[in-house]
Amino acid sequence: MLKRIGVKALIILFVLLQTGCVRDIDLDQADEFATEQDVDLDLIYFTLDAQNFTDETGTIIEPVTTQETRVELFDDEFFQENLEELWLYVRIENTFSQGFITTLNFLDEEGNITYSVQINVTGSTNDQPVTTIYDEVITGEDLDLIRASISISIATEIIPDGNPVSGELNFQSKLRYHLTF
Amino acid sequence: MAQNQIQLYNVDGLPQSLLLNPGTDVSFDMHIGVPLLSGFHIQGGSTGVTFYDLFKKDNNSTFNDRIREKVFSLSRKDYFTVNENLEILSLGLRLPNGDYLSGGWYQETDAILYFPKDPAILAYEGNSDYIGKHFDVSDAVTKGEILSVFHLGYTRKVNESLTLGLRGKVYGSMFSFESIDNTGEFVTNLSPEGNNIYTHELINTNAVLQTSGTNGFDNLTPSQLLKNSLISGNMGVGLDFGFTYKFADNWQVTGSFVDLGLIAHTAKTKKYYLRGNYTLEGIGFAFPAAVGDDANPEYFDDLEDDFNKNVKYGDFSGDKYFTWRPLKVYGSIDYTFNGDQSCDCLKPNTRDSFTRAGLQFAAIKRPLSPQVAVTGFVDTGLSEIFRGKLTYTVDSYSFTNVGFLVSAQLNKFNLYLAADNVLEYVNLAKANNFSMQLGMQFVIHKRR
Repeated sequence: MLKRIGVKALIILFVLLQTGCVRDIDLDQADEFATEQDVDLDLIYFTLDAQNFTDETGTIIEPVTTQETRVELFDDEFFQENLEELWLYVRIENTFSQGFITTLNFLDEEGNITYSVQINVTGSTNDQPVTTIYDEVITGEDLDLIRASISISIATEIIPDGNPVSGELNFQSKLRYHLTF
Repeated sequence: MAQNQIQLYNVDGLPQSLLLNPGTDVSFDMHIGVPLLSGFHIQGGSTGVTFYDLFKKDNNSTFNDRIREKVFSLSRKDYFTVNENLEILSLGLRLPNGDYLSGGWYQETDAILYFPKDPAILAYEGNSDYIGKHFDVSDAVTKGEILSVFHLGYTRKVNESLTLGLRGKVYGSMFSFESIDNTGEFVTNLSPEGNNIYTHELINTNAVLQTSGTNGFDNLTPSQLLKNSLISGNMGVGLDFGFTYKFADNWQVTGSFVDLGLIAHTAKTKKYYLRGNYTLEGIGFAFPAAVGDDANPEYFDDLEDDFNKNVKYGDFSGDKYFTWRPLKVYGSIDYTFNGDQSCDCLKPNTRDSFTRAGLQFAAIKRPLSPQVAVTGFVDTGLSEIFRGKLTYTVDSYSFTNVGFLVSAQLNKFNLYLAADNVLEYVNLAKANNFSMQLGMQFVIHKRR
């Protein structure tokens, strides 16, 4: 009995083996493979206080203060090929009574500005932090200008308002890289 | 020998069963394999996903939809395996004292890749939607090797009830890679009290990928592998042992350990590594005071230096390491019907007319947990020439794995064919696992 069942089953399985095939699939779909990735990455942060603009007497002697750094990301082959969109997000908290103009410049290898962002920072009226948010989605030709850059400089200009210069300005920023493969 | 090969286990008319249990109570007196053709085995499998799942013709979903669905539905315990085994030489001879001596040379490829769940999600989607999620580096687990094995086995029938066997092996690793026991996490956290919007943290990371035989992946070429098949410099030793015990009329139990061994990797090794802790908050500008020198530090260079001081990564050659071979454990219990297993000296093949039914167990040690398979089988003589074995296996790939073995003894010439998961042959694309074995050899029964 067991033997008869075994024999029949083996014959069926052997036939199945002979007729084995791969069907209802399309391997060419692999060419359609694409994925999108969003990567959030901190960019630049800093804190400014009165010493960055005034002398010991509180007189503004440097109304504009500037720093620059290389950011060797945008010229990277990976970003050149796959970066589809960039979201710049800046958050500035200000307890100065004075307002500020903060300018982010993207610079190429020769120091030429390829792309520029200007943020007007509101002054505080009661020493409480005032938050200024700036965000911008950069695509298309503007993104090409970012891709051409190698450095970022940030210049912050204080707008005198007649009050003593006192307080803090906290600058935070990030980029969201939208990548496609 | 290779992974599972359930159909060949405890088939005492086939020499290949000695490679799964050197204590198999074999019925023949000599075997000579046809060089390169005496035993070929191939297996590929994946848990949780099939070719059909990804490549099916379906207008309701795109290929990318299906990839995405699988990235999230597969777990870190899902894995992909491949195993290939080719007997180059196979010989055996019954000694005057009745013991059986067998030996040979085979080549094997064996690899496993666990689905790297967290790294895959991070690579596939990025971190933007996963703020606060700890991506676990330990999900990256893989191990594989291509090796050449010389072996010599000794099978002794201690008495009518008990047969014991031992096989010694010398391994020559042609190529090996291993990345296991990685640790560490990557997380992007919101940082309301910090310097910037986020903190990006690499925590206690220690990830290593070791290779041997080809000095990394760049020299992984067929010619280099062929050269390594004879002399690779990465040698090891191993042991198989097993038994067959007839504990009552028509009842027998068998068991074996295969590939209890290790390989020392000393030649053409390369180690890729990443280790360290780091917290990134972006680039922190330090504006100078209005009174004093204007200063503009090299922020990016300083950041790179700080990162490189805390996180070590790269590769180097010349590292020495050991790998354990994936140990296999087999066992079975069976009952023999038509129980006359005594040899008819004039018609030795009539011995193969019995029918045997029972259960088999097979397990293979893998980096995260053993792969286990339980098989019910019927092994029966189909005619004086043909013998067949029918198997039903439950394992990590499937609960519907039906397989078979057919062996033909044409005078002294033996041919066999075995396959797994045959129900899936209607459309192999839907199979989670596929394996096939075939071979040809001279198997000689002496008339006594």
